[in-house]
Amino acid sequence: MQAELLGMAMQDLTGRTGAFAPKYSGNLELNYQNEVGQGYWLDASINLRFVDEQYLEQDLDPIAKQASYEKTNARIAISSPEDTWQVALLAKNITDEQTFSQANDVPVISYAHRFLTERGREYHLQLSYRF
Amino acid sequence: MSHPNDIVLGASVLIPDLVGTSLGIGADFEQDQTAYSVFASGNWRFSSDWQLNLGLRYQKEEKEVTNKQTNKQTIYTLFSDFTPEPVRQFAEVAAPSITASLSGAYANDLATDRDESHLSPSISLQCWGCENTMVFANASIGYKGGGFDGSGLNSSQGSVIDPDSGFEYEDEKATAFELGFKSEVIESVWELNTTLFLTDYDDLQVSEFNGNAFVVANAAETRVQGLEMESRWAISEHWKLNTQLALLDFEYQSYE
Repeated sequence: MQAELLGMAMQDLTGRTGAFAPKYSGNLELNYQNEVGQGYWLDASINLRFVDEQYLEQDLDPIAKQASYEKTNARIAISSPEDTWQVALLAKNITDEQTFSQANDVPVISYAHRFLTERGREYHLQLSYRF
Repeated sequence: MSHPNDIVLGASVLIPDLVGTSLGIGADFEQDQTAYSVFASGNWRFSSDWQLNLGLRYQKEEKEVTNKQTNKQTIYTLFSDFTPEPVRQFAEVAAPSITASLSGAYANDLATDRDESHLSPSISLQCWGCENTMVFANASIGYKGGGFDGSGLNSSQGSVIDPDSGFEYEDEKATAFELGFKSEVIESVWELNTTLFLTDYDDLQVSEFNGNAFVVANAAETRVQGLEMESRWAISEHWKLNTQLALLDFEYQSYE
């Protein structure tokens, strides 16, 4: 612990993976578009993003490991004829997954970490109008 | 770029006898950087189905840097109103040695520069010989310039740069290979793109936490390989399915 405090701890990561390197990641998006009524358009989509576990620190500290996760977003929109106006309802991270984007050691205090959290569940209502 | 740094954060936590005292060391880091680059490329369609692309990039980078961690000006003490007078007097005297032993940062006044230039070639071959499909193979070499660490945690003393202080880090070299295709598997219905890649890094620059701050160091030989796939499928007039998948294998081949 003394060596770590003085910044003299060494690591050999030969053969190990790196930070921010999930073994798999990907995205699936299903989209539906159709005319509803006279010239009105419905545009709906649902999106699933999946990411394998990954380390959030270069030293591969097991404390700062983000587990694999899936996040779902959805969007439904109605547009008027000629696209004059559009109303869209969005839901992001519907399952309210709690994930971290970064982690840092806190200086001097051994084992203390600071995590940056990503956004939880969100709803957005978007209105647009073209003059 | 010039910034002061607090290095010993809350030393009072570690030294319970120094009630209501915080010690710090500041650093003045300044860097002047000049970069030039030229890029040239040529495409040769040597038959109706085949094309060869060649590229060459030249880059030159110059960096001049000064780092001042001077005793009298930048090692400082902060006290609460209730800090007893004897504690203040002791802390004022002991501040330089305490900050040095805790953070490894000594008083110094450094000035140096680096100058590097690189030639980065690339070659790619494309073929449209297969039906609705373009197949390609690329190879390229690229560099990321070296530089200096401005975290203000330098263990150098006086004007001599300690080679183990991590003050200067070297350039990183990447050698990359790609093999892939872009295909309209079913015309106007299904598009599929796939790329296999392999990149070897020499002297990969990694950000290391040395216990007090992040410093950049050339730690490793690293191989990153994987597969990227992208599919766009118009299932019907109204339904579409888009898919992306990435497989990644990152491995430090040697880490110093």
